[in-house]
Amino acid sequence: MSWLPYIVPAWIFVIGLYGMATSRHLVHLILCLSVTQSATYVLILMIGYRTGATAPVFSDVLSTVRATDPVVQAVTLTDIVVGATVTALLLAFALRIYKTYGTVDPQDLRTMQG
Amino acid sequence: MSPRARGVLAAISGLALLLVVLAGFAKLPDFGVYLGPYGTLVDELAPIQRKIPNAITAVNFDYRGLDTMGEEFILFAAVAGLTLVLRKDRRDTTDAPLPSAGLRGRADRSDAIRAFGLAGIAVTIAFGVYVAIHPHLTPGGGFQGGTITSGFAALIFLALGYRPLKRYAPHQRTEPIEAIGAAGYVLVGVATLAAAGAFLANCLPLGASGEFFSTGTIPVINLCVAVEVVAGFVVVFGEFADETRFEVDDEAEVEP
Repeated sequence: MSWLPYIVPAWIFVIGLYGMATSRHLVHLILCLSVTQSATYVLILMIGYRTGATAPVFSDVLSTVRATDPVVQAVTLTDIVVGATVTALLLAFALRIYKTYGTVDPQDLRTMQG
Repeated sequence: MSPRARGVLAAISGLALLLVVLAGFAKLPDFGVYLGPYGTLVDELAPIQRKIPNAITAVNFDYRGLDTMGEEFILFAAVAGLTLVLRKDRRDTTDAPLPSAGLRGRADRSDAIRAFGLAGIAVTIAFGVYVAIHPHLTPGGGFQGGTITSGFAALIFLALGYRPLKRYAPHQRTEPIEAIGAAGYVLVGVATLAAAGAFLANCLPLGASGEFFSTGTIPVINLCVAVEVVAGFVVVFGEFADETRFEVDDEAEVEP
């Protein structure tokens, strides 16, 4: 059953996509996008894990101790922070769309643009 | 497109995606089995080569420092784009805050929020700076610590309101600071290129492992990132706070 944990990122990805496809509010849509994106974090952190390993910070443990892959963790930590600002940018777009079209429902938006 | 047609389209593309995802997942290694040699090598070499206990920071700010510079500029571009989008239809941007902000009364803010918010500001800054300046020794760093530290701006807005936020974290100050952080990273790269012949080569003295002043250029780059992240998030909070102002005619504003 060593593939079983991979259901977690798959589930996060699918539930985020479902939210985006059925969204009736732009803020909800953006948050669903963040959820979908976080599936990739969970997945690559899982790939970097090895059974019984500790975090790759050797302040308290010897550097010979089995540790997880630091590369995927480095990628994840920078991307969470950068992703937060990108989400803020998307929220700004949502605000601007509301001011221009008077709606935040993506399904109304399409008809308004003709 | 009707909701029904959209549902059908989503189901079809979802099925297609499912096939691709299943094909991809089928080739994944078993959970708990790590295949790549790169992570193992970094774990073994970073504490020796760079005298750094935190291998994650070694990847971020040394071995793959160029990639982190790219990430940093995505952050910079996102913040710049946000200010561009939000300011487009705002009447004034860089001057003193609109007096109309005063219309948002203080009465709707309870004492508990003000007290805990104010207490939280000091704690947030202290903890955030602590995390931010220990990238090499603890699981900290400029990205994590910078994000925590920038929470002080949100707390000022929550506890005190719009005007104090604009007084203690004004745009005119935070925007150049963000640019300085971004430019600092590049300047470190250029300086190391001139000094050691490679962009972002770690050419400063490494020091002893576990010391605060050690691991060469890593704390310097980390400081640039921390400055940029704090300033970037403060700009984001400030821009969204500007959106809470009521638009009031100039004539109406002069009346007390």
